[in-house]
Amino acid sequence: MSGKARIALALALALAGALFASAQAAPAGAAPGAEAEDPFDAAAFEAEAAAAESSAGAGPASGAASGAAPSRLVGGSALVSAQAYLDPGLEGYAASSYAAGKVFAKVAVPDYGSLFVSWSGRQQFLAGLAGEGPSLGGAAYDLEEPELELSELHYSFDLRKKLFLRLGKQLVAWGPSRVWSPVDFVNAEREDFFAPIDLRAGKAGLRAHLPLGSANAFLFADFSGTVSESGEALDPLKTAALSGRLDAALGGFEFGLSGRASGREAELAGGDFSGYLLGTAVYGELAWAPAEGSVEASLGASRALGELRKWKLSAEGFYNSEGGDLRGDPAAMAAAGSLYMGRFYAYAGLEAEDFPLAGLDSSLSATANLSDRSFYARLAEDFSIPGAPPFSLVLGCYGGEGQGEFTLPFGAGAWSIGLQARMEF
Amino acid sequence: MVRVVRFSMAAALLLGAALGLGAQSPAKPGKTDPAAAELVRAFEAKLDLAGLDVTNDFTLVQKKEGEADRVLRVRVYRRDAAETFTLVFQYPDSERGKGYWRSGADLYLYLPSTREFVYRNRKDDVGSTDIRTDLFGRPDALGQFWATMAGTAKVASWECDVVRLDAKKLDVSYPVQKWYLRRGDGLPVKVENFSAGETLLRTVYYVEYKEVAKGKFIFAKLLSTDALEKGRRTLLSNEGITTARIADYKFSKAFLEEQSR
Repeated sequence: MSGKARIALALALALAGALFASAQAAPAGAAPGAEAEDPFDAAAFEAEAAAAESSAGAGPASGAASGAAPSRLVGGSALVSAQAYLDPGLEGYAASSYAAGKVFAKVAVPDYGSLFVSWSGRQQFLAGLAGEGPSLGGAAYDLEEPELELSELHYSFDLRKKLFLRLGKQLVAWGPSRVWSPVDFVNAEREDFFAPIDLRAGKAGLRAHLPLGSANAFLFADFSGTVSESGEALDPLKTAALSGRLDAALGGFEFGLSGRASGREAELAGGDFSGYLLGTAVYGELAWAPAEGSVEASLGASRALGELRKWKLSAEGFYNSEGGDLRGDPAAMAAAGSLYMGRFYAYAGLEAEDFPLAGLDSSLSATANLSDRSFYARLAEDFSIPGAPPFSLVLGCYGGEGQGEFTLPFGAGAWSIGLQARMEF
Repeated sequence: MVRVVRFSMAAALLLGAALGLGAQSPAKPGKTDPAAAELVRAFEAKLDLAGLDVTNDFTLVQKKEGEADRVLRVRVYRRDAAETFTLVFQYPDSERGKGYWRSGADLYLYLPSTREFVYRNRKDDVGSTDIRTDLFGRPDALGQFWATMAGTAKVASWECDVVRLDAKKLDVSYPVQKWYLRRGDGLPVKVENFSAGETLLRTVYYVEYKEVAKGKFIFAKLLSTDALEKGRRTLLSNEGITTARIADYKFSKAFLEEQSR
């Protein structure tokens, strides 16, 4: 690490410390109804619970027997982010700030089903580039017009509560892995593990779910290929894809088998498992394309540590027979996509609640492309300060061989620092 | 390639060592005291609602010093005869649609934001509160713990027998527990939960019970206090209890997806 990088890191940590110290100095406020003298005093219990519910605006419980009336729900999630990327010699930087989010509305009418619609959006606030070194890869920014996209629009209904159907543009969960998802050959895009908010758009199709006791059968008819890019309607029998999944719980594990048949894409088969072994959560996925002879596989584990289980250690590995060291070929890297261009990958993470101080959650992780020997290390501190919105401070380091997956944009030894505030509503 | 393999092996060994270090071995007295087992069977028979379908709303109020009270409302569908239950979050709206489905020893957490079912074990906590999912559903202490007598004690105005439970396996909420069973009806009024190292972590008070059928009880008010974090407490109220038959499909992944936001 260069001297300048050390100074930058020290400054960032000092800033974080100062922010937190000021928060700690703020009055904590009195705990309402601190210690009940008699824990069996039912009247005091009721009064305390009612006061908390009223203060939170929870209202009275609606009663378990209700549910025959139509229900409406509107909500979403939003993220406001600002970050800077510093090149290894601190000779230049790139800066960016944006807001992104998703809003949804759902209407459910008993005996008819439910309609769900969601939009995703992103608005850039700032994009800056200065000095020598960093590159934004030719990205174009618009500070005036937001990017808006219909994310999902679907109608869900059932046949006598035996078969559950969903028609429309939709995102589908397919497989248990966290970072890499080999068996997710259903969605148009795989979920980005590092993205602070999921802005993916769904695929047009019909999903059928048949519960079979402790097993489940799923079928997804993918209609996204039935219309060409120019808008021309095509033969559905030749262009639609059909994916199926059967999962079942057995011996403390859940096992899943998946397959895809398609007239326009490669046929695929896959299997996955998730469960607990000696107190450790373990999971894995394997996908195989018979025509190409290619294989993708992931294997992961996570374990809570400590008496209060406030620490969590997790790790995951990924193998992709089609991947390799693509340094020097940016076009091939872009085509393969982030986290799927190398042959071998490894991820390890350690998360801690209320560490190093109460109200501060920390996570440290490293992800390495073992094929081109580049890595990304990340330290995130989640601040929860009374009287202030929760926010996260994220420090990143890009290292290893130059021109690799994680070192191409800013060079080996580059740093990033970001502030993020996220809300669910 | 050789470097890649070496790197991977080293990483795997480090991870394995870390996982091994984190393992907690539960205490193993190795056998159950018949007198303690009889007391456990007696209260579990009263809390076992096999033969009944129970629907109710739980309201959890979590209190932490220096923070606003957190309120969660969860609807519970319970069928002990089939060893199954479903929990669906109702409040706040940001948590609405999240849920759990337990079938036998299999527990799934449903996350509406990603539509994922995550296979979990029974010691999962509910919505990051002190309440664990094994509080719901059919009790099975003797299947998971060795039970021994730990004397008697007075709790409030009740004379109680104290039964100590030591976990047989790791997949439990707390590896060591002390249950205070009042002599009048045998029902638990207080439970102390300890770590494997026997540090007191949490005390639960069963403030009030409701009789849902002759000789069958469900707790109506429960207070959980954190022993390590002063002022951290969870109040759990059980309202709208009904015993009408629940449609079978409510014990399925499909129902949780239907309730999703």
